[in-house]
Amino acid sequence: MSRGAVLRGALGILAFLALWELGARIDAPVVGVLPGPAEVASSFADLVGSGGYWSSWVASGERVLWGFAAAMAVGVPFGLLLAINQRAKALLFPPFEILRPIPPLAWVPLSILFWPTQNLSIEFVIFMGAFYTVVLNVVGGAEQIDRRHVLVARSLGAGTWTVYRRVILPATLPSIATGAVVGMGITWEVVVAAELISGGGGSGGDGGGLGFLLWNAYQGGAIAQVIVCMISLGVAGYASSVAVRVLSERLMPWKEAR
Amino acid sequence: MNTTLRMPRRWERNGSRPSAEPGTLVFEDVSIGLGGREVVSKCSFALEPGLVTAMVGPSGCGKSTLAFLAAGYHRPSAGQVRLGEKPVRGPGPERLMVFQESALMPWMTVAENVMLGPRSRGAGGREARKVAEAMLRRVGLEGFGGAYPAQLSGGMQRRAELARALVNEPEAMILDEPFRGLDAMTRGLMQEYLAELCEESSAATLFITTDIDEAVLLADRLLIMTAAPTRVGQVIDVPLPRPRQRTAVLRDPRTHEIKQTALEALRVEAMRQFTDQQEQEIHR
Repeated sequence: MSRGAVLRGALGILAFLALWELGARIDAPVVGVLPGPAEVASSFADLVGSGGYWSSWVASGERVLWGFAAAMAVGVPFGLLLAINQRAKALLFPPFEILRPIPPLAWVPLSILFWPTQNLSIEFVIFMGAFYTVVLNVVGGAEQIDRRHVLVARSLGAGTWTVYRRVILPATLPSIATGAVVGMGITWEVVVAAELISGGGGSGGDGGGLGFLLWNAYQGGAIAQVIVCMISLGVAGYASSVAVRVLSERLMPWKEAR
Repeated sequence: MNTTLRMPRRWERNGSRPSAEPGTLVFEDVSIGLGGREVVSKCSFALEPGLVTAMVGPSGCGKSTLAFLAAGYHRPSAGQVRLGEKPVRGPGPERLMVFQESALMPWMTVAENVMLGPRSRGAGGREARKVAEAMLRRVGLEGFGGAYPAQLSGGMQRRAELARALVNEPEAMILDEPFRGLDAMTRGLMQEYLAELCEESSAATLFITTDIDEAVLLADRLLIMTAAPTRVGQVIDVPLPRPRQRTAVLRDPRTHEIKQTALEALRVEAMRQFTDQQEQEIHR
């Protein structure tokens, strides 16, 4: 990013904050009900000092990480199977397509029944959020593999395992990365709602996560704190997407080499 | 290499059994249908070790299908493809194909691409790297082993691809329009380069092209293919001296004669394909 772009970006954020502050002070419609950025900042300063805020970050982060990791661990091999084995696709794709439109949050009741702990239940809902996106991207990518690469590898004496590991997997990696970035975005959308519904983490609210903290603040009328939580979620989602992107670029050095 | 060697071409017409010399890739009355259409019909020819055979024919006549049969990607529905006495039953490192345009794995470095064959067949990393580097030196890509294919020019990619095949010392090389998509300058250089490589190689080489000049420059013999369903329509020997040099080939009076014969035969086949298509239109 050039210096000019950074400067313009900062200017945009400042202008946004200024408008918000102004709207809050003159009681403009809609935004007038909100505390201004200054008040939110002081609420943030209070929260930073409390352990609960940071443990909420950790709690939500862990859930996202596990749900996402599970979605990748199951979704990538499952997607490859669907893409490569026609019989498996004929058998498994129809139920997959019927289950897919069910919103992840609709799984909350069953998830609570399925799993012994609340954390596992939330992680399962997150998993359901990312899983379909990951699978669809893998299938789409693997079906577009250049057939010649597989033929060449087979001619050169590569066995099934080598073809999977050295040809099909790397050829699908760009699509897996796309699925991971989009899927990661979905996990943060899901974690908040799942935490609202599941209500805390059991241990006095400390393990409730950012979503729970947000809901709790709203019920206590602390709107400034709600906004702090909202911004925190935005930052967390953005940071995780960037992390996934950077990591996937590391795995695909040939994409940069041009 | 003996340039005056005559090809046994009479069997092509009277149907006698072609040779079963070791290292000779033989097509014997091969037929195959794809998608309900007969693409190759009772096609017979033999590729002898150390010789380059250029296959020329109307576009869409089924040349690539023959290449796939030779590589073992397709199985004939009738007849037999064999290497020496051994029937071809699938893909294998003894019969390697270089595809149209680049089929290098973009996610592997050039050296990794070249090492893929030796590594897949159980060679150790260090040993594979050594032979790969020697081969890259031979095709003039020394020092490019660590580059990714996308970082190379079109001509360099094609050479890397030749290296990936040659490092396995195949008995037969199948080159399916390998220079398609290259600019004229690079293409000319690659032709001279391949002529040199073929002269050093003892592989039976099949070179598929639509370019007669290219075919005459590179090949010991031309197979003019018939319109689909294809088979060998005419065999034309190219008894020009080796090593081949473009200027010498151009100056040779026989060149003109060979090209004329080939073009005439091709024209007949192109016409036949054209009328066949029209007939099909009428019957439809």
